Amino acid sequence: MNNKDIIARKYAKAFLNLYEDQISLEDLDNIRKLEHFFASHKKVIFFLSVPNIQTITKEKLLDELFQRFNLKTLLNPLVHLLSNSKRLFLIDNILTHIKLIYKKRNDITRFTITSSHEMPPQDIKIIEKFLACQTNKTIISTYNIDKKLIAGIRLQSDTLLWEYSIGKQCNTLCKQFDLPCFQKS
Amino acid sequence: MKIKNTDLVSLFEQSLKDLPQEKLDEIGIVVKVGDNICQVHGLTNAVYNELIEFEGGNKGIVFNLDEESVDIFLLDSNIVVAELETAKRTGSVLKTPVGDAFLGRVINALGEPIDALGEIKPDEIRPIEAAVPSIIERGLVNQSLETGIIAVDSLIPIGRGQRELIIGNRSTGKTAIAIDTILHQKDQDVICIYVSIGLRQTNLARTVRLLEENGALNYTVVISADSSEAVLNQYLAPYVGCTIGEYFRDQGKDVLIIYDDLSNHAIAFREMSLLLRRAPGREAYPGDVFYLHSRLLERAGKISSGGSITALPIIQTQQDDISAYIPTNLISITDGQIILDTKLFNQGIRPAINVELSVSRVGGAAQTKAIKKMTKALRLELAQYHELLDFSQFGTELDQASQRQLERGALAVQILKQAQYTTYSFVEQCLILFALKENFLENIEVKQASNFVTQFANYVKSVYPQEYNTILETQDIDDKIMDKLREIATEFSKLFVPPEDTNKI
Repeated sequence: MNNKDIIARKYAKAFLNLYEDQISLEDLDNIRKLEHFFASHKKVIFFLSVPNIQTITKEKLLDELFQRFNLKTLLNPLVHLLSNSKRLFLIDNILTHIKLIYKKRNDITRFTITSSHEMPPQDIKIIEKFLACQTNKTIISTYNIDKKLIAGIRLQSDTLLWEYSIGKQCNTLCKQFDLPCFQKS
Repeated sequence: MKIKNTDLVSLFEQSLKDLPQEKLDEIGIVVKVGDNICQVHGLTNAVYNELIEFEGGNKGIVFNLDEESVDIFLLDSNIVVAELETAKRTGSVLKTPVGDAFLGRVINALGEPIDALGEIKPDEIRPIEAAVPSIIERGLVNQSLETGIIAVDSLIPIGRGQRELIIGNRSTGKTAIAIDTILHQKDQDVICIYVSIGLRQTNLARTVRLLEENGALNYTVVISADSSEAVLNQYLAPYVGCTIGEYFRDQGKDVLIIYDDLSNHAIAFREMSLLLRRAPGREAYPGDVFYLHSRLLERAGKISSGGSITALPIIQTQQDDISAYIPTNLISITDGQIILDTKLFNQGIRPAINVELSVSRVGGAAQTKAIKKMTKALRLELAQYHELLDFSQFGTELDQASQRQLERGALAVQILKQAQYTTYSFVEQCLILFALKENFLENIEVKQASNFVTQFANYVKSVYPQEYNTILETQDIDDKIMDKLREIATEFSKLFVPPEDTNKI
């Protein structure tokens, strides 16, 4: 963990100590989307780190951005605090840590449910129940379709995996015969 | 590999019949990939040295545990590991197959055959890291392990269960001593394991062919991790060799294991540690390099209930510097060392053992009475000879006693010379040393001394088999046998005709 991360983690902890009960699962999902936005638009962070640009301009940019992601009310106090200490460029790291710490404190795990064919929502609910039962955690899921599975499903989080698919069986067979992997999921 | 369609269909059906598992697999995501190393985010419950399986088919071992990620060394450099690939915990450390079928085979560091002689059916699968035998389980080193090399067996005896380091510069005959020892174990009921670490493939091929030609491969397992292989394989090879040795030891057998060489092993570990960004210490080796070798060599020893592992680790020095980091570590771990000298090697004294610096700390107790009686004063005589030899370089005139000592010393050095792949049995060694001790070489030219003693040993064996067998059975030479041997030696001295000098032709 570098210095930037250490500071960001401290801000995230402080923010959560005050506003944790105001964060909903929907907000958490929005934070995740915003995090992805920052990761794919590095120029925004660069913009926030340029000292010549006035803090008001930077704040305006962030306000606009948070508005789009429905996070304005929640994150306003944090933006004010960061602009006062001229650390707005830490916002992406802080959001990452808010997400991680919140998930840890509230036992939330994100699972990606992947199936070969489209599944009805009630089936996804059953899978979520199964995962909650297995992990004893609150489950947030994202649903994907992946034809490479051929038939079956794959449930994956950062640290856990459950898969029962033809694609997996084919890969296992390839390994047994010392052949290159059939398809990487 | 040709796949039969029926195989594929039956396996496929079988795998589909299996019910889906209930539990979730613990996984991580590859976030960084380097030279045979990768960083995996997740795997929160992974343990040190745990075997990890990658989705793409590769496997690796956990070496660093950080707060949010683990560092894994990959076992197969040919299978690509990509970023964002999942890595799954196996819940066990790396294991190697072991069994009787491994005898006569050449395998790699993962226990897979590389000699094109087909698959090996293992009897067991064992973890490569095992607990060392406790003090209670260990027995005393009191049985000799003959190397067949007269200089070693007489002056630096090795006992079964001992760890004797072979140390010297490059091209001084370190591997030759090890190979000769393996060759000498024929019909001695000793299982040999030769672990080649970071050596050239051509050298290994030559060694394997040599063992095969001499019928020594039948009781030997060769483990190869040559210089072209991944550093992890070089790191693992000695542990795999030791695990196979332990399998035979647990059956009550005596095992001889040769690590050729541990300098390359330390270098491989240094490379791994530097890639893992561990703090470098002396000579850039990590702090735990001592533990690397101590935990390996502590697994050798004699077990009181039967069975032993004798370890002969080899270390290469740079310019005779035995005080370098790895040599000093190994010297302190082992029960003695055979030091090979480049100067002696160049003088034609082979094996080029420096008898003054070489030592065996526990082998004395394992030496047979017969050899002990014959070599009582040999080490001292050799030391005095070398001292006197240095003194005589000044051109000083020497008295008769000193001249006699010089002549005797030269004879001793001459009979300790031994051609490669020629080994002597314990009785032959006794007879050779007897001829020296009892001054039967006095009237023999130095260059003919070797011929005299070998012919004398053969003469006793063929003409006086009763005396020969008595020594073999009792492992001692009592006064009666001594008198008889004197008579035989006197008789042989009259018969001895030096062979013609072939160089003159």
